[in-house]
Amino acid sequence: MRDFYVNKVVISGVGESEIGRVKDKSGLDLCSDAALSAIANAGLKVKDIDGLLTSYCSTEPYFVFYGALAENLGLELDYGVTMTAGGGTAGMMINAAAMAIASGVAKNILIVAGENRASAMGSAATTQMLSAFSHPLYEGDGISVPAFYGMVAKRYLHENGLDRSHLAPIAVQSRANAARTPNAHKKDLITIEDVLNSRPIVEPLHLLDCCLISDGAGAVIVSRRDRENDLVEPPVYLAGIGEKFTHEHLTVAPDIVRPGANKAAKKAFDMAGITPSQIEFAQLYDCFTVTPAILTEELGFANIGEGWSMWSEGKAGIDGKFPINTHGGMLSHCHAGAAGGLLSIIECIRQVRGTQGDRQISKHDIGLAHTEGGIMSNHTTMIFTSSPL
Amino acid sequence: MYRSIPKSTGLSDHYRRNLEKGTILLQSCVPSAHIWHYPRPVCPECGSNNFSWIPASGRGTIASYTIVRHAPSAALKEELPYIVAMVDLKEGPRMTGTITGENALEVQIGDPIEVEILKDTSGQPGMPVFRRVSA
Repeated sequence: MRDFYVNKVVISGVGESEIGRVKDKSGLDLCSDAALSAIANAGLKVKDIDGLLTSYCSTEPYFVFYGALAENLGLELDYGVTMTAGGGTAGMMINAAAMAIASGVAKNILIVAGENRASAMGSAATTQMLSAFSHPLYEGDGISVPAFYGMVAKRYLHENGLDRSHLAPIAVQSRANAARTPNAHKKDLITIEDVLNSRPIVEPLHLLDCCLISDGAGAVIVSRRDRENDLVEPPVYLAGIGEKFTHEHLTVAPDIVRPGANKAAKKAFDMAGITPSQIEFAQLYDCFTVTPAILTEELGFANIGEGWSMWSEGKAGIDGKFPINTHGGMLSHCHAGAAGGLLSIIECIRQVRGTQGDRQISKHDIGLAHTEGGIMSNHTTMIFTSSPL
Repeated sequence: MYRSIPKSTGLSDHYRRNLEKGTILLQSCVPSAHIWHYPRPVCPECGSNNFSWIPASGRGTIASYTIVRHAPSAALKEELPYIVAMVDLKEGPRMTGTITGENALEVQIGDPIEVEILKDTSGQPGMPVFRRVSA
């Protein structure tokens, strides 16, 4: 599998827009800014882009979003599509781009995700949009994405004899990491008490257990491997990638806490020919504090029921033994549609490059990123390396 | 309500007409004996389309729950706090609903429940309601 596709690609560029509350930009503006930043970062010209993958963009009225973005940038494409798989779209676009590059249909594929969800929709409209996650025919409309994750969190804590104080260090560490990241949405430091005392949303999850609602966009360029010597920044390689879908609605999931992340991860590890113990740091999807806690266990970085302790014991810090979400994740850096996951992939690529100055982690040759969509419905695990494995 | 509810057709219409009479129907696979909820054209275990409908007993246990303290829409604000729960029916399938009754907020995972289908103001069957019962 590795020779079939991941060995045929190189990550050539990454970029992002302004992040936070960006009042004077539309979702299309933010996506265009991120795209142009990634094209420059890759040492390419706009016209070198012959493939474009975008996520959905909830705040924009265009029927075909990738078409609107391509037109805005003046692109003529040999391959392009808008992909919709929730937050997991980010990882799935990396996989689709790698397959398309390896097949020869395109040479430089631009991947973009972003929205101005904070400014254009705001908290109330976003929450209401996310309340439409239950089955429209068989479940009521009062079950929001946060409520489903509230049930995931309750079950996780119950199965492992924990309470919500065990998850609080995840929010605190994310904020501390974001405070060191130039473009992060939230940088004011928080304490365990702040997390515990924040207002309840869907118990056991409180406000500071929940990801942000931000404006922002990210972009990645996947190129043919033969560009590896022509790059502006150090090349980054995709050593392994795996996807798994198990359910759309949580009632149908094979397990409320552990539906499919481990299956996606196994495929990525098998493709790369390495084990979890060889991974040096990870960027894990963190829509709520409970999510990365579960993922550390599912991906093989912690024993079942002990993932949370990676934060409370300091392992997950930037200077810790196994840094996690070094940019602050969606809890503190940015969450804007599928951009949150893509920005965690971008952070993984930047750390593998070794170019992050005073927030550069010390061991960074093999990094892992994991994105998921829906209610843990689809999973993509990616392993990025500084040299080909 | 944020989105419009699709028209019931075929399997979902059959399910809904029985729900109006107070019965939750499950599907039972003839070859694999797997029982599932919600209605779908083939068995999610083995892919067979050879199934029969069976009525759910309406009994089960709480698999997980959340106490909702922040309403996802203005309409639900008046209901706060309310509970969304997932229940494992005695027959096997899992379904979501709310929990009502005295001391609903004291619910625990594993509590036995009974399902009730209440009608909304327009007389249509609403979201399933779970009542805690003694084991």
